[in-house]
Amino acid sequence: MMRRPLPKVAQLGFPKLTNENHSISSPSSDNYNCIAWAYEVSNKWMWPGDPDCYWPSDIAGVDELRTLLQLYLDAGYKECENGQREDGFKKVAIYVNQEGPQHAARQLESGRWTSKLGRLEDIEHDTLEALEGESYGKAIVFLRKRNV
Amino acid sequence: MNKQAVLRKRVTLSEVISRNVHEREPDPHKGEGEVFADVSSEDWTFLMIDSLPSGIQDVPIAKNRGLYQWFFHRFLTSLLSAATTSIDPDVASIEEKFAVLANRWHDETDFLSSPSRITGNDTYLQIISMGKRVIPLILEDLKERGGHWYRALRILSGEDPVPIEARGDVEQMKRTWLKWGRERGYIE
Repeated sequence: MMRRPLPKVAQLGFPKLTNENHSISSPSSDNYNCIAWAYEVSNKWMWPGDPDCYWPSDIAGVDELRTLLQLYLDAGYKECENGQREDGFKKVAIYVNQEGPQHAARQLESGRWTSKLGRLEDIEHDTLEALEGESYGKAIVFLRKRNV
Repeated sequence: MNKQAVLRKRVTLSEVISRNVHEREPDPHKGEGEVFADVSSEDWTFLMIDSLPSGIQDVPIAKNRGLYQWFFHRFLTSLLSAATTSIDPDVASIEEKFAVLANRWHDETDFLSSPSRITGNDTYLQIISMGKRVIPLILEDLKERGGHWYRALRILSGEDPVPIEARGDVEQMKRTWLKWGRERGYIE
């Protein structure tokens, strides 16, 4: 299947994204966001502490990043050093900028990453760096979970 | 000042008109499409399109060639909204002002996930500051394009028809607000 990149206009917020380092993997959708997608849920917009978002009632906290992290820890992930592919593990990376957590990406078996861009499309990207920049900040928190 | 004058005046600003776009790709929703836009100068050198999105027919565009594609709509509205940074409320209608701000808000936030960044956005707050009269316009935009209009609707209406168990279920939240809007006569 032909690799289809995001339209140029949608790439404007991501200075490191090029037509060569990513491809669209599903149509745009309001129904879920990056946090849900990394959590392998595709019918909820998930964010802690917001009245218009779904969040498990047993995960609460004041610190947004810590609360997001807890979601994945409760699902069996453990914090790890980096986003390098490791045999037998799936990984999640959380992007953070000066305003706090902004995005989560999930690693595929191939070592590439899958990301839901807000209410736009899901994309597969070769590296975590491809989405780094002012919009999402940097991927600085990494989690891994053994593949079942 | 009429609508055409408002738009013509503002599409010549250079802040976002600094790149060429030349794309061709299939659109899963509207079939094959092609767009060619070259706006490398401060004026629109040319934009080709067959069918224009409603509401922006006054933009100076050659309509004779090219096919409409969704991302072109985004591109076009991005130019319009970013360029229309200040609208004189005395001369622009509520509908015009809302359309520009809503387009700008979508462009500024559609790629975001954090609700506080999406709805804490200055443009979003500007829309809320327009008051209850934009409720029907918000509901129409919600119906047509979706987006996190829920906070604005809660603030402007003082109501929240969405049950707690539906939080984050965007389809259900949307249906609930549209039903609410129809029941109160804001939309048909």
